[in-house]
Amino acid sequence: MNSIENKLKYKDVHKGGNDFFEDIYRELAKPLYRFIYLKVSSSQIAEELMQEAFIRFIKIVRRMDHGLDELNIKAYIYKIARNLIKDHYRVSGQMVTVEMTEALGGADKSQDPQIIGEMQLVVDSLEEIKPLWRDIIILKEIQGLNLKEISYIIGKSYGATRVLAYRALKELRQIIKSKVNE
Amino acid sequence: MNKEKLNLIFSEFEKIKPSSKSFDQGLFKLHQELKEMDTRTSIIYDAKEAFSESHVKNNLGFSFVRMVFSRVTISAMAITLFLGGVTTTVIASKRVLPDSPLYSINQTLEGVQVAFSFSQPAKTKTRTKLLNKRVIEVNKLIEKAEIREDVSSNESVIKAITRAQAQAVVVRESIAELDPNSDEGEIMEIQKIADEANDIVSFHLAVASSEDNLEDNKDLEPATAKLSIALNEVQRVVSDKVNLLGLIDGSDVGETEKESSEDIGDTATSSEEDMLSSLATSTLEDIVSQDLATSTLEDIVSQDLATSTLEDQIKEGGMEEGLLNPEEKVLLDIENGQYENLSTPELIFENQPSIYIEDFSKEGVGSKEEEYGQEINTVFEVSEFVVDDEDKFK
Repeated sequence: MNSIENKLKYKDVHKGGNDFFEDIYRELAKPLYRFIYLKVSSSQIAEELMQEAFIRFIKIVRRMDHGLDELNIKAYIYKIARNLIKDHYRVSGQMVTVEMTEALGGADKSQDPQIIGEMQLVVDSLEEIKPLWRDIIILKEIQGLNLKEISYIIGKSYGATRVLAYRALKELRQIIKSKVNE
Repeated sequence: MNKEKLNLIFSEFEKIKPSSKSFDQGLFKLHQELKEMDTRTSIIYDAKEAFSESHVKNNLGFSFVRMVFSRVTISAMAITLFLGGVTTTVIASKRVLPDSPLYSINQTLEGVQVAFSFSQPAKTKTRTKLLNKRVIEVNKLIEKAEIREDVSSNESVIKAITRAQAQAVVVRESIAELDPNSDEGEIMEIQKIADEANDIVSFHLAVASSEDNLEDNKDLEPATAKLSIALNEVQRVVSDKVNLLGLIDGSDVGETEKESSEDIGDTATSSEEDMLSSLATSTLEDIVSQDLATSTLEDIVSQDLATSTLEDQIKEGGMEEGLLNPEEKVLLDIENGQYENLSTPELIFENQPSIYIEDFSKEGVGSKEEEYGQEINTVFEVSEFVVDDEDKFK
């Protein structure tokens, strides 16, 4: 992502050519899919939403007379994706639990079943905490975004995000601990 | 489960990937969309912009008109105009450029604007505003063409320049017809707008005629030079009018009136005579074809600078800076390097409506409370404690 943003600063996004948007897609499609999948737990829906997020991104950016202000392309696309997920739930209604074996799609059969079990434990624990906190954990720990980007995506101040991230992780570890003890 | 273990599991999540088929499918869709965007002409976006930019002021209530306006087509727009009568003015969009299909509608609206200004000063004011618009259009088109690197061969630029030139002539005649006893404020305002137009074009000329750009813009140079002369004519007429009023650069009216009658009484009357005589003979075609056809920007600059610098002229002639005509003023400014600090032409466009980014709620993306671009300062109550060094607590 850094290489792309070095090539074309976020201020000039609207001037970007087709190659530039393709580069962004190649760079971000997989992590974005992962993020959406962990929230909708359906590969089909996640793929659709992922594609929709990119198309919406280029539609918005191409119509701008100037580039983005003070944030990076990555955070912008995540924000679009997050709003799409919200829309999706507004229509479909209920949350669905993530099944790790299904998530990994059997593509990697040499996967250690113990690790899959642990991942399932983490995913189950994630479902027990507040949606906002869950988002923050997924964005920070799994997607590797920094706090500034997250604060833009969730629409809170930097300080608030930092405290929330700390509390969310603390809560998650407590839940995992209690689950293991059971 | 300790921290390291948890991080390890988090990293395992990277194995969740879209199938390669859907990845390629997404890329294909993206390409298609981009292609469609390129080929689809800007009609839809221009139309949207034109409607969102058309400001309608109505004494009956702004929101009502806006509500109507957001849904109607052009015919309904005409009806609103008709019903609204005198109290309604439609300001045609500034962002519809001559290469847009909506430009003719825009021009019709402008005609209506002029028609609804009844007094001569009001008409002149509207026309001057339109002149300003023409000049801005020229600049925007040149900018647009520069991005595509086909400035010289671009016909729409040349046409826009001619249009601006013609508008300058109209404005000049309109100003000349003004009664010197009419409202001082109006004339000062007209001068302000004309100044702005002149500034924009002279700045652009300064940029275009710099050594780097000279080769690219060779074909444009004579056209822009003509435009600058037409604009300077406007400026001259305006300043003559202002001189007749005894208002020189906003200094005290009483004193300057005396001074002007004593010191430059002759010049004031002679300039008036000149103006009148030129008016009597010149038609629109004459002005355009008046030996400007041959002169280029370089000629104009070199003619003035060949004999002596402007500062010398001021010293010798005992001229005051306020009495310089606008053309000389601009040249003096360029000499003094006033335009060197201006890095981009945007600086001059301060009065343009600011462009906003559409927020997500309009796009139907969701989350109405979060508006993009706005700094979000959520008051977050820290009920427990604030962690300064978060790593310490992990």
